[in-house]
Amino acid sequence: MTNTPMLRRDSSHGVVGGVCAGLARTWQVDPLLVRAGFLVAVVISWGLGLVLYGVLWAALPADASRRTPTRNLSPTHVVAIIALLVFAISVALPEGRYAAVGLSILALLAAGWYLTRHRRRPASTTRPAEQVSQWKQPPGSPQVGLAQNPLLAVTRRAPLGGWVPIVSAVGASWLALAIVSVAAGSVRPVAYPSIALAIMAIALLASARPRGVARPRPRGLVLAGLATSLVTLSLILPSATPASQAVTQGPISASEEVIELGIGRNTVDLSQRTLTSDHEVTITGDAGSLTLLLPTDVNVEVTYQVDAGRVRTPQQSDAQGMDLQLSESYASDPAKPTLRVLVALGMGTVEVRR
Amino acid sequence: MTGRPDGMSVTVGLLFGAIAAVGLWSAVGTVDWALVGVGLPVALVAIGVLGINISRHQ
Repeated sequence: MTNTPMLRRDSSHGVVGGVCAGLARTWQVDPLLVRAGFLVAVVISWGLGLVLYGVLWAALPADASRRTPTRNLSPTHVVAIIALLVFAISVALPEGRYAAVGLSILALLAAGWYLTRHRRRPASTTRPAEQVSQWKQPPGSPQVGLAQNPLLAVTRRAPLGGWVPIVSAVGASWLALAIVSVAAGSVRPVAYPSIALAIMAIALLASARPRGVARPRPRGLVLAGLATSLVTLSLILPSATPASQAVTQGPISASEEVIELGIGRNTVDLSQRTLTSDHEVTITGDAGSLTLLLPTDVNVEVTYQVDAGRVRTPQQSDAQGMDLQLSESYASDPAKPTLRVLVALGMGTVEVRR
Repeated sequence: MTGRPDGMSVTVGLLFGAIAAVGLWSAVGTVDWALVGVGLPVALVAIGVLGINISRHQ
Protein backbone atom coordinates (compact mmCIF):
# COMPACT_ATOMS: atom_id res chain seq x y z
CA MET A 1 0.00 0.00 0.00
CA THR A 2 1.41 3.33 -1.00
CA ASN A 3 1.70 6.13 1.47
CA THR A 4 -0.06 9.07 -0.16
CA PRO A 5 0.86 12.43 1.37
CA MET A 6 -1.93 14.31 3.10
CA LEU A 7 -3.45 17.07 1.01
CA ARG A 8 -1.83 20.31 2.08
CA ARG A 9 -0.67 23.44 0.35
CA ASP A 10 3.00 23.36 -0.62
CA SER A 11 4.05 26.92 0.15
CA SER A 12 7.74 26.29 -0.40
CA HIS A 13 7.24 25.23 -4.04
CA GLY A 14 4.16 27.29 -4.77
CA VAL A 15 3.95 30.16 -7.23
CA VAL A 16 0.88 31.90 -5.85
CA GLY A 17 -0.59 30.12 -2.85
CA GLY A 18 0.88 26.66 -3.16
CA VAL A 19 -2.43 24.96 -3.98
CA CYS A 20 -1.32 23.48 -7.33
CA ALA A 21 2.02 22.42 -5.87
CA GLY A 22 0.21 20.75 -2.97
CA LEU A 23 -2.15 18.92 -5.31
CA ALA A 24 0.80 17.83 -7.46
CA ARG A 25 2.59 16.46 -4.43
CA THR A 26 -0.49 14.57 -3.31
CA TRP A 27 -1.09 13.15 -6.77
CA GLN A 28 2.65 12.65 -7.27
CA VAL A 29 2.75 14.39 -10.63
CA ASP A 30 4.72 17.31 -12.03
CA PRO A 31 3.38 20.62 -10.59
CA LEU A 32 3.64 22.11 -14.08
CA LEU A 33 0.95 19.69 -15.26
CA VAL A 34 -1.41 20.72 -12.46
CA ARG A 35 -0.78 24.43 -13.13
CA ALA A 36 -1.39 23.98 -16.86
CA GLY A 37 -4.59 22.07 -16.14
CA PHE A 38 -5.69 24.74 -13.71
CA LEU A 39 -5.10 27.50 -16.28
CA VAL A 40 -7.12 25.58 -18.86
CA ALA A 41 -9.89 25.12 -16.27
CA VAL A 42 -9.88 28.85 -15.53
CA VAL A 43 -10.24 29.68 -19.21
CA ILE A 44 -12.93 27.06 -19.85
CA SER A 45 -14.92 28.05 -16.77
CA TRP A 46 -14.70 31.76 -17.58
CA GLY A 47 -12.78 32.48 -14.41
CA LEU A 48 -14.73 30.33 -11.99
CA GLY A 49 -11.60 28.24 -11.50
CA LEU A 50 -10.15 31.20 -9.64
CA VAL A 51 -12.91 30.87 -7.06
CA LEU A 52 -12.10 27.17 -6.67
CA TYR A 53 -8.45 28.09 -6.15
CA GLY A 54 -9.45 30.64 -3.52
CA VAL A 55 -11.61 28.10 -1.72
CA LEU A 56 -8.82 25.50 -1.74
CA TRP A 57 -6.31 28.07 -0.59
CA ALA A 58 -8.57 29.05 2.29
CA ALA A 59 -9.49 25.48 3.22
CA LEU A 60 -6.17 23.67 2.96
CA PRO A 61 -3.57 24.04 5.69
CA ALA A 62 -0.02 24.85 4.73
CA ASP A 63 2.95 22.64 5.47
CA ALA A 64 3.74 22.14 9.15
CA SER A 65 0.56 23.88 10.09
CA ARG A 66 -2.82 22.62 11.17
CA ARG A 67 -4.36 26.05 10.80
CA THR A 68 -6.04 27.08 7.59
CA PRO A 69 -5.33 30.57 6.28
CA THR A 70 -8.89 31.67 6.98
CA ARG A 71 -8.07 31.59 10.69
CA ASN A 72 -5.73 34.56 10.41
CA LEU A 73 -6.86 36.54 7.39
CA SER A 74 -5.54 40.06 7.13
CA PRO A 75 -7.69 42.87 5.69
CA THR A 76 -5.60 42.67 2.49
CA HIS A 77 -6.52 39.00 2.09
CA VAL A 78 -10.20 39.73 2.64
CA VAL A 79 -10.14 42.49 -0.01
CA ALA A 80 -8.27 40.17 -2.41
CA ILE A 81 -10.81 37.37 -1.95
CA ILE A 82 -13.73 39.76 -2.44
CA ALA A 83 -12.09 41.14 -5.61
CA LEU A 84 -11.56 37.62 -6.95
CA LEU A 85 -15.17 36.76 -6.22
CA VAL A 86 -16.36 39.94 -7.97
CA PHE A 87 -14.16 39.05 -10.93
CA ALA A 88 -15.38 35.47 -11.12
CA ILE A 89 -19.04 36.44 -10.78
CA SER A 90 -18.69 39.23 -13.33
CA VAL A 91 -17.25 36.92 -15.99
CA ALA A 92 -19.71 34.15 -15.17
CA LEU A 93 -22.76 36.33 -15.71
CA PRO A 94 -24.61 35.75 -18.99
CA GLU A 95 -22.78 37.04 -22.07
CA GLY A 96 -19.81 38.13 -19.92
CA ARG A 97 -21.18 41.64 -20.07
CA TYR A 98 -19.67 42.69 -16.77
CA ALA A 99 -16.33 40.94 -17.26
CA ALA A 100 -14.53 44.23 -17.82
CA VAL A 101 -15.68 45.48 -14.41
CA GLY A 102 -14.12 42.45 -12.72
CA LEU A 103 -10.95 42.71 -14.79
CA SER A 104 -10.47 46.39 -14.04
CA ILE A 105 -11.02 45.83 -10.31
CA LEU A 106 -8.40 43.08 -10.42
CA ALA A 107 -5.95 45.36 -12.24
CA LEU A 108 -6.46 48.18 -9.77
CA LEU A 109 -6.12 45.79 -6.84
CA ALA A 110 -2.88 44.36 -8.26
CA ALA A 111 -1.47 47.87 -8.64
CA GLY A 112 -2.52 48.83 -5.13
CA TRP A 113 -1.13 45.61 -3.68
CA TYR A 114 2.22 46.15 -5.39
CA LEU A 115 2.41 49.76 -4.23
CA THR A 116 1.70 48.95 -0.58
CA ARG A 117 4.00 45.93 -0.59
CA HIS A 118 6.77 47.91 -2.23
CA ARG A 119 6.54 50.74 0.27
CA ARG A 120 6.57 48.32 3.15
CA ARG A 121 9.62 46.43 1.90
CA PRO A 122 11.81 48.72 -0.20
CA ALA A 123 14.32 47.06 -2.47
CA SER A 124 17.93 47.05 -1.37
CA THR A 125 20.37 49.45 -2.97
CA THR A 126 21.94 48.80 -6.31
CA ARG A 127 24.43 51.62 -6.18
CA PRO A 128 27.62 50.77 -8.04
CA ALA A 129 30.33 49.32 -5.89
CA GLU A 130 32.78 52.08 -6.78
CA GLN A 131 30.38 54.76 -5.50
CA VAL A 132 29.93 52.91 -2.24
CA SER A 133 33.66 52.47 -1.74
CA GLN A 134 34.28 56.16 -2.43
CA TRP A 135 32.08 57.23 0.45
CA LYS A 136 34.13 58.91 3.14
CA GLN A 137 33.03 59.33 6.69
CA PRO A 138 32.87 62.95 7.77
CA PRO A 139 35.95 63.87 9.83
CA GLY A 140 35.38 63.69 13.56
CA SER A 141 32.26 61.63 13.25
CA PRO A 142 32.05 58.45 15.27
CA GLN A 143 33.12 55.29 13.51
CA VAL A 144 30.22 53.61 11.81
CA GLY A 145 29.99 50.40 9.87
CA LEU A 146 29.16 49.88 6.24
CA ALA A 147 25.49 49.55 7.09
CA GLN A 148 25.35 53.21 8.03
CA ASN A 149 26.73 54.29 4.66
CA PRO A 150 24.18 56.84 3.34
CA LEU A 151 24.71 55.61 -0.20
CA LEU A 152 23.54 52.21 0.87
CA ALA A 153 20.48 53.71 2.53
CA VAL A 154 19.16 54.98 -0.80
CA THR A 155 16.58 52.65 -2.26
CA ARG A 156 15.58 52.15 -5.87
CA ARG A 157 12.38 50.82 -7.34
CA ALA A 158 12.39 47.28 -8.55
CA PRO A 159 11.95 46.93 -12.35
CA LEU A 160 8.37 45.79 -11.86
CA GLY A 161 7.60 49.04 -10.05
CA GLY A 162 7.34 50.80 -13.40
CA TRP A 163 4.25 48.73 -14.13
CA VAL A 164 2.23 50.26 -11.29
CA PRO A 165 1.16 53.47 -13.07
CA ILE A 166 0.53 51.53 -16.30
CA VAL A 167 -1.64 48.88 -14.66
CA SER A 168 -3.43 51.56 -12.64
CA ALA A 169 -4.17 53.61 -15.76
CA VAL A 170 -5.35 50.55 -17.70
CA GLY A 171 -7.53 49.43 -14.79
CA ALA A 172 -9.07 52.89 -14.36
CA SER A 173 -9.76 53.32 -18.08
CA TRP A 174 -11.27 49.82 -18.35
CA LEU A 175 -13.47 50.55 -15.36
CA ALA A 176 -14.65 53.75 -17.05
CA LEU A 177 -15.33 51.88 -20.29
CA ALA A 178 -17.16 49.13 -18.42
CA ILE A 179 -19.37 51.67 -16.65
CA VAL A 180 -20.15 53.35 -19.97
CA SER A 181 -20.82 49.93 -21.53
CA VAL A 182 -23.23 48.92 -18.77
CA ALA A 183 -24.92 52.31 -18.72
CA ALA A 184 -25.10 53.01 -22.45
CA GLY A 185 -24.26 49.61 -23.96
CA SER A 186 -22.37 51.18 -26.81
CA VAL A 187 -18.70 50.32 -26.18
CA ARG A 188 -17.19 47.96 -28.73
CA PRO A 189 -14.83 45.24 -27.42
CA VAL A 190 -11.89 46.61 -29.44
CA ALA A 191 -11.90 49.69 -27.20
CA TYR A 192 -10.42 47.70 -24.28
CA PRO A 193 -7.16 46.47 -25.87
CA SER A 194 -6.85 49.71 -27.85
CA ILE A 195 -6.89 51.90 -24.79
CA ALA A 196 -4.47 49.57 -22.99
CA LEU A 197 -2.16 49.73 -26.01
CA ALA A 198 -2.38 53.51 -26.08
CA ILE A 199 -1.33 53.65 -22.41
CA MET A 200 1.60 51.31 -23.08
CA ALA A 201 2.64 53.48 -26.05
CA ILE A 202 2.61 56.58 -23.85
CA ALA A 203 4.65 54.74 -21.21
CA LEU A 204 7.19 53.68 -23.83
CA LEU A 205 7.52 57.20 -25.19
CA ALA A 206 7.85 58.58 -21.66
CA SER A 207 10.65 56.11 -20.91
CA ALA A 208 12.46 57.01 -24.15
CA ARG A 209 13.82 60.27 -22.81
CA PRO A 210 17.56 60.35 -22.16
CA ARG A 211 18.91 58.44 -19.21
CA GLY A 212 18.83 60.34 -15.99
CA VAL A 213 15.73 62.25 -17.09
CA ALA A 214 13.27 59.39 -17.48
CA ARG A 215 12.60 56.27 -15.45
CA PRO A 216 13.80 53.11 -17.15
CA ARG A 217 11.41 51.12 -19.32
CA PRO A 218 9.45 48.59 -17.25
CA ARG A 219 10.55 45.04 -17.85
CA GLY A 220 8.39 43.19 -20.38
CA LEU A 221 6.56 46.32 -21.60
CA VAL A 222 7.45 45.78 -25.27
CA LEU A 223 6.38 42.13 -25.08
CA ALA A 224 3.08 43.04 -23.40
CA GLY A 225 2.55 45.73 -26.05
CA LEU A 226 3.13 43.23 -28.84
CA ALA A 227 0.58 40.84 -27.36
CA THR A 228 -1.94 43.67 -26.95
CA SER A 229 -1.27 44.76 -30.53
CA LEU A 230 -2.08 41.28 -31.80
CA VAL A 231 -5.34 41.26 -29.85
CA THR A 232 -6.24 44.74 -31.17
CA LEU A 233 -5.41 43.84 -34.76
CA SER A 234 -7.36 40.59 -34.57
CA LEU A 235 -10.42 42.61 -33.57
CA ILE A 236 -10.12 45.39 -36.15
CA LEU A 237 -8.82 43.52 -39.19
CA PRO A 238 -12.00 41.53 -39.98
CA SER A 239 -13.78 44.81 -40.68
CA ALA A 240 -10.90 45.89 -42.96
CA THR A 241 -11.14 42.96 -45.32
CA PRO A 242 -12.99 43.66 -48.56
CA ALA A 243 -16.64 42.80 -48.66
CA SER A 244 -17.57 39.57 -50.34
CA GLN A 245 -21.08 39.33 -51.71
CA ALA A 246 -23.13 36.19 -51.91
CA VAL A 247 -26.33 37.32 -53.54
CA THR A 248 -28.89 34.74 -54.48
CA GLN A 249 -32.28 35.44 -55.90
CA GLY A 250 -34.93 34.23 -58.27
CA PRO A 251 -36.62 30.83 -58.48
CA ILE A 252 -34.71 27.82 -57.20
CA SER A 253 -34.95 24.16 -57.97
CA ALA A 254 -33.22 22.22 -55.18
CA SER A 255 -34.91 21.96 -51.81
CA GLU A 256 -31.66 22.49 -49.87
CA GLU A 257 -28.86 24.92 -50.37
CA VAL A 258 -25.57 25.65 -48.61
CA ILE A 259 -23.82 29.01 -48.76
CA GLU A 260 -20.27 29.20 -47.40
CA LEU A 261 -19.15 32.66 -46.37
CA GLY A 262 -15.67 34.06 -46.78
CA ILE A 263 -13.79 35.86 -44.00
CA GLY A 264 -14.87 39.48 -43.96
CA ARG A 265 -18.10 41.24 -44.73
CA ASN A 266 -20.78 39.19 -46.46
CA THR A 267 -24.25 39.95 -47.68
CA VAL A 268 -26.72 37.19 -48.44
CA ASP A 269 -29.78 38.55 -50.18
CA LEU A 270 -32.73 36.18 -50.01
CA SER A 271 -35.29 38.96 -50.25
CA GLN A 272 -36.13 38.28 -53.88
CA ARG A 273 -36.66 34.55 -53.45
CA THR A 274 -39.77 33.15 -55.04
CA LEU A 275 -40.58 29.78 -53.49
CA THR A 276 -42.94 27.15 -54.84
CA SER A 277 -42.29 24.75 -51.96
CA ASP A 278 -40.52 24.70 -48.59
CA HIS A 279 -36.83 25.42 -48.89
CA GLU A 280 -33.80 25.22 -46.57
CA VAL A 281 -30.73 27.42 -46.72
CA THR A 282 -27.66 26.80 -44.58
CA ILE A 283 -25.19 29.67 -44.28
CA THR A 284 -21.85 28.87 -42.67
CA GLY A 285 -18.78 30.99 -41.96
CA ASP A 286 -15.72 31.11 -39.70
CA ALA A 287 -15.30 34.80 -38.99
CA GLY A 288 -16.69 38.04 -40.24
CA SER A 289 -19.97 39.83 -40.55
CA LEU A 290 -23.13 38.74 -42.32
CA THR A 291 -25.97 40.93 -43.49
CA LEU A 292 -28.94 38.69 -44.21
CA LEU A 293 -31.84 40.05 -46.24
CA LEU A 294 -35.02 37.99 -45.82
CA PRO A 295 -38.08 37.87 -48.07
CA THR A 296 -41.33 39.33 -46.85
CA ASP A 297 -43.84 37.44 -48.95
CA VAL A 298 -43.14 33.92 -47.59
CA ASN A 299 -42.96 32.36 -44.13
CA VAL A 300 -39.44 32.42 -42.73
CA GLU A 301 -37.85 30.45 -39.88
CA VAL A 302 -34.31 31.39 -38.95
CA THR A 303 -31.92 29.72 -36.51
CA TYR A 304 -28.70 31.43 -35.50
CA GLN A 305 -25.69 29.63 -34.01
CA VAL A 306 -22.87 32.05 -33.28
CA ASP A 307 -19.89 30.93 -31.19
CA ALA A 308 -18.82 34.45 -30.27
CA GLY A 309 -20.29 37.68 -31.48
CA ARG A 310 -23.55 39.51 -31.95
CA VAL A 311 -26.93 38.93 -33.58
CA ARG A 312 -29.13 41.86 -34.52
CA THR A 313 -32.52 41.11 -36.00
CA PRO A 314 -35.89 42.82 -36.10
CA GLN A 315 -36.98 40.49 -33.28
CA GLN A 316 -33.72 40.02 -31.36
CA SER A 317 -32.74 43.65 -31.18
CA ASP A 318 -29.18 43.02 -29.99
CA ALA A 319 -28.02 39.68 -28.58
CA GLN A 320 -24.31 39.35 -27.96
CA GLY A 321 -21.95 37.01 -26.18
CA MET A 322 -20.70 33.44 -26.47
CA ASP A 323 -22.53 30.36 -27.76
CA LEU A 324 -25.51 32.29 -29.05
CA GLN A 325 -28.35 30.00 -30.15
CA LEU A 326 -31.47 31.83 -31.23
CA SER A 327 -34.51 30.99 -33.31
CA GLU A 328 -37.20 33.20 -34.71
CA SER A 329 -39.94 33.02 -37.28
CA TYR A 330 -41.68 35.50 -39.49
CA ALA A 331 -45.12 34.44 -40.61
CA SER A 332 -46.62 35.73 -43.80
CA ASP A 333 -49.38 33.41 -44.90
CA PRO A 334 -49.85 29.81 -43.64
CA ALA A 335 -50.77 28.73 -47.16
CA LYS A 336 -47.46 29.89 -48.56
CA PRO A 337 -44.21 27.86 -48.45
CA THR A 338 -41.64 28.29 -45.67
CA LEU A 339 -38.05 29.29 -46.04
CA ARG A 340 -35.88 27.79 -43.30
CA VAL A 341 -32.49 29.42 -42.79
CA LEU A 342 -29.72 28.15 -40.54
CA VAL A 343 -26.88 30.60 -39.86
CA ALA A 344 -23.78 29.02 -38.30
CA LEU A 345 -21.03 31.55 -37.69
CA GLY A 346 -17.85 31.04 -35.68
CA MET A 347 -17.06 34.61 -34.71
CA GLY A 348 -18.63 37.80 -35.90
CA THR A 349 -21.82 39.75 -36.34
CA VAL A 350 -25.11 38.76 -37.95
CA GLU A 351 -27.47 41.51 -38.96
CA VAL A 352 -30.87 40.60 -40.34
CA ARG A 353 -33.16 42.87 -42.32
CA ARG A 354 -36.63 42.07 -43.54
CA MET B 1 22.35 64.56 -17.89
CA THR B 2 21.64 65.11 -21.58
CA GLY B 3 21.66 62.61 -24.46
CA ARG B 4 19.67 61.04 -27.24
CA PRO B 5 16.37 59.34 -26.52
CA ASP B 6 16.11 55.58 -26.63
CA GLY B 7 15.43 54.65 -30.27
CA MET B 8 13.78 51.34 -29.45
CA SER B 9 11.26 52.91 -27.08
CA VAL B 10 10.47 55.73 -29.53
CA THR B 11 9.88 53.52 -32.57
CA VAL B 12 7.95 50.81 -30.75
CA GLY B 13 5.99 53.41 -28.78
CA LEU B 14 4.96 55.25 -31.94
CA LEU B 15 4.08 51.97 -33.66
CA PHE B 16 1.89 50.89 -30.73
CA GLY B 17 0.36 54.36 -30.69
CA ALA B 18 -0.57 54.08 -34.37
CA ILE B 19 -2.23 50.69 -33.87
CA ALA B 20 -4.02 51.96 -30.77
CA ALA B 21 -5.27 55.00 -32.69
CA VAL B 22 -6.78 52.80 -35.42
CA GLY B 23 -8.27 50.53 -32.75
CA LEU B 24 -9.86 53.45 -30.90
CA TRP B 25 -11.10 54.86 -34.19
CA SER B 26 -12.84 51.57 -35.00
CA ALA B 27 -14.27 51.53 -31.47
CA VAL B 28 -15.93 54.93 -31.74
CA GLY B 29 -16.84 55.01 -35.42
CA THR B 30 -16.27 53.57 -38.85
CA VAL B 31 -12.67 53.43 -39.97
CA ASP B 32 -11.91 54.96 -43.34
CA TRP B 33 -9.69 52.16 -44.59
CA ALA B 34 -8.78 54.07 -47.74
CA LEU B 35 -7.27 56.76 -45.55
CA VAL B 36 -5.55 54.16 -43.35
CA GLY B 37 -4.21 52.47 -46.49
CA VAL B 38 -2.37 55.66 -47.37
CA GLY B 39 -1.60 57.02 -43.93
CA LEU B 40 -0.26 53.85 -42.33
CA PRO B 41 2.57 53.20 -44.84
CA VAL B 42 3.57 56.87 -44.64
CA ALA B 43 3.56 56.70 -40.85
CA LEU B 44 5.61 53.48 -40.90
CA VAL B 45 8.23 55.07 -43.15
CA ALA B 46 8.35 58.17 -40.95
CA ILE B 47 8.73 56.08 -37.79
CA GLY B 48 11.48 54.02 -39.44
CA VAL B 49 13.39 57.14 -40.55
CA LEU B 50 13.06 58.60 -37.07
CA GLY B 51 14.31 55.37 -35.47
CA ILE B 52 17.30 55.18 -37.81
CA ASN B 53 18.12 58.82 -37.13
CA ILE B 54 18.07 58.30 -33.39
CA SER B 55 20.12 55.09 -33.61
CA ARG B 56 22.81 56.72 -35.78
CA HIS B 57 23.71 59.22 -33.07
CA GLN B 58 23.80 56.77 -30.19
